[in-house]
Amino acid sequence: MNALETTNLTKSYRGKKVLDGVNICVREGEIYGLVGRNGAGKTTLIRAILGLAEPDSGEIKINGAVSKRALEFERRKIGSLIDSPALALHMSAMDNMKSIALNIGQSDPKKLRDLLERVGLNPDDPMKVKNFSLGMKQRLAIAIALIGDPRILILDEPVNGLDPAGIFEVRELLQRLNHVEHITILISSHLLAELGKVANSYGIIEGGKLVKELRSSDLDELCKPYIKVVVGDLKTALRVVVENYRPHEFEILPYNTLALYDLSKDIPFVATMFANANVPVLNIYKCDGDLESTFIALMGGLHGAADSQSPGADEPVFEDLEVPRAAQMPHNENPPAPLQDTQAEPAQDAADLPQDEIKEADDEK
Amino acid sequence: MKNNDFAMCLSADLFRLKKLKSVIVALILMALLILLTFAVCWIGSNLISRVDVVESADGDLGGVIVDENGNAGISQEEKTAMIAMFDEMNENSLMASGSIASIEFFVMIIVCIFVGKDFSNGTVRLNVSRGANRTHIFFSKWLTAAILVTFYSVFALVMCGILYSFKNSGTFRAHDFGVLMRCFSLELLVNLSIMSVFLMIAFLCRSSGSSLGVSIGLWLVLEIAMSVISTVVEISGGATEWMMFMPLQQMSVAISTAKLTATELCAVIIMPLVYMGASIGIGLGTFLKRDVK
Repeated sequence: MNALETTNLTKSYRGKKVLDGVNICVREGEIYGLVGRNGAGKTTLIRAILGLAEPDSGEIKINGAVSKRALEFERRKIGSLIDSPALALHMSAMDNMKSIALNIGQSDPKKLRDLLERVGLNPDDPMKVKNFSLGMKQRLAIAIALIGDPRILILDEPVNGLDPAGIFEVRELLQRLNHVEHITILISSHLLAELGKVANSYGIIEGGKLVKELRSSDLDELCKPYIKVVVGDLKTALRVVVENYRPHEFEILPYNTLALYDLSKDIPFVATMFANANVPVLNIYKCDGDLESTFIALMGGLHGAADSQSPGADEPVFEDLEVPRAAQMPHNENPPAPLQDTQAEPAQDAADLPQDEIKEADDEK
Repeated sequence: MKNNDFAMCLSADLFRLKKLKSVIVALILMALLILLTFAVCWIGSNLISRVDVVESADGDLGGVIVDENGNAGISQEEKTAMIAMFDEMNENSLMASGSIASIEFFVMIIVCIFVGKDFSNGTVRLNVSRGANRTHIFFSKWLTAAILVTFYSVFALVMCGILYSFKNSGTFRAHDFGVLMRCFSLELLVNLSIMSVFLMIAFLCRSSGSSLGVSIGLWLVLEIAMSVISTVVEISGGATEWMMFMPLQQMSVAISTAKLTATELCAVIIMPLVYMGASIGIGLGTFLKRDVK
């Protein structure tokens, strides 16, 4: 059964569509990571699910409930943390807990104390929340979200302001809540690597639209390692690659870069292959296919949808070759790392790439 | 987990109000205002009673006069009039206990801080996201503020009653008690209507600072506008009775010890109810329609 589901959810602010027909599906018992750049619509989506923003059109289903009244009832089982922590700054941590607990009808002081201890706060500390550090406020907000034993947790940037130990503790807590208490969690975070450690499903949102919904297994496939080669002559390099690789084993990336997925051909082999064809190799190294790069690629590159098209993708050089188009698979668009293992040309970084190509890419943006 | 109903919203709001320091500060300031008013009455009355009565050598010019022997003092008539004025002031202090404690002013500040803080802290957001009914949230805040107004009114009445009894023990009759209860009830009703207006402003502004600014601004504008209008009407010789139907103008009628006319009763009962209903309607309607910050 789906814990949360939206169908064609649309929301506009002053004529600007912030959510555009979003369909997400969070299954019961999973940890769903919502990924997207700032202003992509993540928080608006969460706010719509929680009833804080009225969608213009579309449907929200929580545990199968659709009607307004039924949704209100189902929302009682949702603990949430959105935007900045919702805390009364003039009260202590325990008083904040009591204040919200009274609203929920769950005011057992022992449970509240347990929750505070669980997130590493002292329930007897009389210090007012206004004197708390950002991390302490975040912990308190998580404790508040857990009041009333929610069946669903919706957390927007829950590890904001936490130190590494705090991030680890929150991750452990979320995993425990999910594994032991079978709580469904929807979590949005900019810390993609962190998100990758807890989530088992992902929704990638960009420009108010859900670009892709993936399960962990899909992501593992997308994150497979590859050899990245920056070449001086893309046309010749492609001829060599087409001769040596099958179509699904390579990909063209921006800035004269190729991604080679067949790791049975190692770096010395690849370098020799290009050297034999007189193709200058500017940089060559192995990429581990990290989550961050994968997400960035799925979100349309570092600078939005304009980046999703390789600067070289429309050049005539490809017309006579059967090659897979770029941006279908994840790729790291960060400047190339220092040369690791090459027998060809000396190392060169992105700043050394032909200026006319960089200019062309910028023009496209 | 129990259902998130009105009673739970109310208990949480009362808990949060209890934790608000401004509630106690306002109580202390109100007590000081009441003490100050009574002190002025007592000291004024005592001072006047000690002033010598003299016969004016050059006819009664009013104020301090000098007799033919060169003794300074005031005339008997003036002394009697001034003592009567302080006595009346003393009695009015009891009948208009809420006014001398400036309840409406303190309630305005507290309501703006209380509701504004709940919006800016995100408490309202958290409650809505936890499935609390928005109508329940609104009326819970209204009732919390109404309880505060009633508490302050009772506090002011009790304090004024105690201070009044020091000087006037034995003079309070059953009829006075009836007038006192009428004044108290009408004053409470007017204060509730004023509180509703400020609550509406707080729900529209959704932050302590802006709602306080708008409330104080609105109050000043209304007071000034009403003063100017009434002055103009008086000078031009027109009827000023309709003025009591205007916003914030019912208090003077509510605390009047004289027998009220039908028009006055209408102004002091119907108008507060109209203002209360309108402000609740606008505040609730907006809260139901708008996205929660």
